[in-house]
Amino acid sequence: MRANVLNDPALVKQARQFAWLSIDSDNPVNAAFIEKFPSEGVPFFLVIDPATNKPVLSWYGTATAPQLGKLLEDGLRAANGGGSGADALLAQADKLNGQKDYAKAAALYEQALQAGGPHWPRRSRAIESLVMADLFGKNHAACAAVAAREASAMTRDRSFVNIVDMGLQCAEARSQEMAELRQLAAEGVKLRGVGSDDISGLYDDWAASYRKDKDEAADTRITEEWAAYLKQAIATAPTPEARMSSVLTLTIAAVRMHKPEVALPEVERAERDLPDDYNPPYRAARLYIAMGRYDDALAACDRAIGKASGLAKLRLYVTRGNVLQSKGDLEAARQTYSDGLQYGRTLPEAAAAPTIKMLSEALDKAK
Amino acid sequence: MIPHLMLLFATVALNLPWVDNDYGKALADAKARHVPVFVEVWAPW
Repeated sequence: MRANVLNDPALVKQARQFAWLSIDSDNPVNAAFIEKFPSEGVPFFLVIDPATNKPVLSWYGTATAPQLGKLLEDGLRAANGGGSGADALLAQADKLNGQKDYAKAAALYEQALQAGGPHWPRRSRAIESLVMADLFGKNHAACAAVAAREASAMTRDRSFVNIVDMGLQCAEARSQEMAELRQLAAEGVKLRGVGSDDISGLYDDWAASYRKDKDEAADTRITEEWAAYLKQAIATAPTPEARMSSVLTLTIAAVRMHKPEVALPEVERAERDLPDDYNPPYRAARLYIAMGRYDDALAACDRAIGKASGLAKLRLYVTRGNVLQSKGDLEAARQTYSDGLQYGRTLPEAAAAPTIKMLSEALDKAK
Repeated sequence: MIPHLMLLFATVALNLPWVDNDYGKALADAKARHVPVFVEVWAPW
């Protein structure tokens, strides 16, 4: 988003109203920040009140430049107060949501929606925040119910796609909400003018919804459609950087289809185009593992480890050890896990702890 | 020369003043100017 939305001229007009901070969550120097402001995923946006050192608004996933502009306005309102009626309720909800008090935030988002009525300019964003709060608060029944209740009446845009996507993640197998949301997903993936990452995410969770029902045929059908969409997105992207997200996601779809070879040419091209990036060889390793080509997977892991740093590099030791175990070389696997543990001890403890635990457990099992 | 300078100015003016990976610096800036901190948390792909 930095390359386009985050430097959109409309946002630049708000430059003086904020201090702007970019955090690479894989960079160990940010361990203390990530510990203080843990995220449920990336991209993740926060507005922090410097007086209290607490978040007053949080947002996950993508946003268009106009949506982000409104979020910034809402962040200012949440930090400074002001507004009345539905806008004031939204600011209170945002503050609680930013502090991860999801249940209270959801209740206030509902109140804001009622106060704002059907033509409230912030309705769409408030619905999106409400469904996110229910999702992250693990109130999956409410998340699915709100998504199914609200999405059909919404403008067909990025927010619609994201709300249907989150609703599908929450809906129970064979529920009425699941059926309704699947119909909306079929509509959502065809929308023009919505970013390929958002459409791709919807395909992913639409297919996953059929796995909940153990409907393998429908899962495969949607996953194949998803892969075709990604190939089209790759073909029309103007630069290697613009292609990368779709290339990396194609590897996931290809493995799900049990056709890892489908993604391999694109990953190899990405590695040639962006030779300093660890991601293409890492994804190539995943594909080679799925193909049973362990020597190629090992070589790809080594290339990725040579290019990665910090937490990303640490995670690659787990993958490399897994390849060696699959190959039956337990001694080399143990050495890789030990090397990973040694590297992990050079990283900030809190950030590295989950991967160090994985490496320790893998080392024990490989004995 | 002038068109080049104008282009340079436009490029600088159209970018937000991001602080990379330094919360302390961004927080100090926010406190000094009495504005909130806007944070983008991302991962390489």
